[in-house]
Amino acid sequence: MNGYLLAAYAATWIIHIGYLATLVSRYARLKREIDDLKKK
Amino acid sequence: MKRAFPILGILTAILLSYSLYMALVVAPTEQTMGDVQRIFYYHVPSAWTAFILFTINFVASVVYLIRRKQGADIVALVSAEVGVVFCTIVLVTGPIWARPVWGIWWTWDMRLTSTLVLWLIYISYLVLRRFSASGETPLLAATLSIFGALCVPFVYFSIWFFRTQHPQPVIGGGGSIDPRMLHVLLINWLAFSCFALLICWSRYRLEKLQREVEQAQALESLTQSPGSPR
Repeated sequence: MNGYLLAAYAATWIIHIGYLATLVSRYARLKREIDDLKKK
Repeated sequence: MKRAFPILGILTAILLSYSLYMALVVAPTEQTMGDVQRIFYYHVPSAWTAFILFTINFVASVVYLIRRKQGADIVALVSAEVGVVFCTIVLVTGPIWARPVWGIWWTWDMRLTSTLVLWLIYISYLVLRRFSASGETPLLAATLSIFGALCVPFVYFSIWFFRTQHPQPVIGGGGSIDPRMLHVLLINWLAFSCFALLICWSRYRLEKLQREVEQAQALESLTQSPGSPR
């Protein structure tokens, strides 16, 4: 496989997966905040 | 609605895998550029998806300015954020294609420069939304997004209006493409559009929940403040 092609496709998925990871982390933080609110 | 999300997720995963297979295996190899041309199957659908998301951001911002509906504000925020992700992919994959084909990573060509400006406008939109604590933030952001949206047709039509190094459009504008390549391109666009819809849906739910939690926390701090009735 051409190196440039591989780099472009890999970069695309790294950006998408990176963004999805930030969403998952925001969900996890929000869940902790909801649990804290429930405890109060 | 609860079932629709995982079903769409599975369908999107299948579609993305299929479109990757089509782009790498089924699409014919371009005669002059060779395999590097296959970057086009990720670059162009990402650009089209970003343009659609920025247009949704514009419509939602106008609706917010007229009706002040929180839902429209959330749609505007979500579409801008996901649009920036796709626009980033365009700005990354473009130079990776340009290096072997043009011999340079970047040139201050009208299409490339206007895309960078568009990206910077929406980055500033997101920075404004993230760091401004004012109650007027959605209003200011909606106004900024209208300027951003004006840039979208400029970016798209820049290759018609200016002499540019960027390839001519594949659909309309006198461009031509092998029908098999066009088929693969459209499948990839469908796959990325479904993926964008899925991310937007998820991000919308997250933002809505975030605002509900912030309201609950504000209410909680009010009831716990000294002197407040219990």
